[in-house]
Amino acid sequence: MEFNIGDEYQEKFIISSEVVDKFAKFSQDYNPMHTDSNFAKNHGYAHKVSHGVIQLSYLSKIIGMDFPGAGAIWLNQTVSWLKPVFVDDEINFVLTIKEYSTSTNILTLTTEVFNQNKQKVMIGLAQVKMTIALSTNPQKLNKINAINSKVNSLSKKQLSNKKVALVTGASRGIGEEIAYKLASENYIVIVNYKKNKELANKTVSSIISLGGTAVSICADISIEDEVNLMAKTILKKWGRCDLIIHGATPSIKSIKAEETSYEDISAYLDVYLKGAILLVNLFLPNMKINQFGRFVFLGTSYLYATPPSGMAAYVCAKEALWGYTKALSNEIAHNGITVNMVSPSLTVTDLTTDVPARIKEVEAFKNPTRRLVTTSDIANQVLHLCSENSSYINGVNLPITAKPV
Amino acid sequence: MINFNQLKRIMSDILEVSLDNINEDSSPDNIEQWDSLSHIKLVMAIEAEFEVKLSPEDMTDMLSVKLIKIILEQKIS
Repeated sequence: MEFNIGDEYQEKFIISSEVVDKFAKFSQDYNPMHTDSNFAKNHGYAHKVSHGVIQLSYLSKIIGMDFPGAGAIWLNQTVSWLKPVFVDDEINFVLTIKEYSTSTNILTLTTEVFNQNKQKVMIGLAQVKMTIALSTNPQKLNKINAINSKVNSLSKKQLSNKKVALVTGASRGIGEEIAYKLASENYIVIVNYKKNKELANKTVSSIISLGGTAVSICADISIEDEVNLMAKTILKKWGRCDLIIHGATPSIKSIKAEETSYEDISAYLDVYLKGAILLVNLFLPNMKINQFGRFVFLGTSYLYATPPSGMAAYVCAKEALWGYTKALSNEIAHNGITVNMVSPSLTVTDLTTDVPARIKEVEAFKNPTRRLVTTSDIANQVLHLCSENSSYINGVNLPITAKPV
Repeated sequence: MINFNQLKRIMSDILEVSLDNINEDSSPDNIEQWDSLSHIKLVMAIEAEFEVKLSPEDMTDMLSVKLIKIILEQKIS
């Protein structure tokens, strides 16, 4: 808050008999000068005289709530009552900044009170310290114009009150389960898919039949034009996109590290990393306007230890996505936008159908819970990260492994 | 397909538990006698009775009756 010497604040109050009676009761000051008009008259006053401290009470209200306002601590007050204030008088408070110490944040204010006849009834000097709010509350930027000018005009109007969630690779497996969970929590869900329209539409119709809202949009996440078109469609229809859950993946092939080519890695990189970058570039400006957003990227528990043989390309690309997650989370969280990764261990989905039963069963049995992670376990944690309550969980790679990593 | 009753009998003998107490979900979690020493005895008995050669990896993967079945079926097929 800025303070300038000479800044002034005025406020009027009427000293009603109700106020005076209540004050007498509260303070136990039943001096008949305040409560008995005959007594007042007999002592030379035309009406009951109000308690002088009532004026100080109103002064307390002004200092604490208006000028300088919330956060003010009253340090010192001198006061002289120059004339009596009578019941039913209208009194006008005039506070003016006399001094302001920027180093201590202490204000010196002249405090003057006038009656309806413009006679000065009270004068004094107040010292007030303005405390500074510590940064524990989510920061909201007041000035939207601070946000970069790249914001496209479509995204400025919010057409939906409900939060909108985009789930990539949502036609099946983990993405599908996340779509269901988000829809059940009243988010509008965009089911993104690349090839399998039928499965994506099945996800959408299941959500709708359960009372949720969902649409499917086809887009190859690794192709800029397609992601661009999808973003335009979403922002045009709803004017917002609050959650991006990026779970799309190419099918996973096992290739020995020494036989892996760069092309093998880029097949994954294009979906995981390039896809994430495109989504961030396209949706971040809209999230900044709303001062809220959640990015959740799908990782893998292989990031925590030595990956199994044959997974070099897959792990390299997920590792790159994790690097991007950390960097991005560090730079945008002050806008209320968090970026996290969830990393489950071997999950039973279409993607892992070819994994031999023995490997799955051993994995399950070596886990402290004696079972494999389910898509529901993962979706529950994604939901948690997406909630408003998770604003302080940022830049995390959350292990969904049921064991220490 | 392996003979599950044959496997159960071996386990019952080695681990000294009744046949009724052995099923697919049996494991060191629920059979107290199934410790590291009896596991070695068990693996040796299985090798002899089913006439299979098991690798050290097979032995460490035999974490439950279900897994023993999966591994034996892989060996026999």
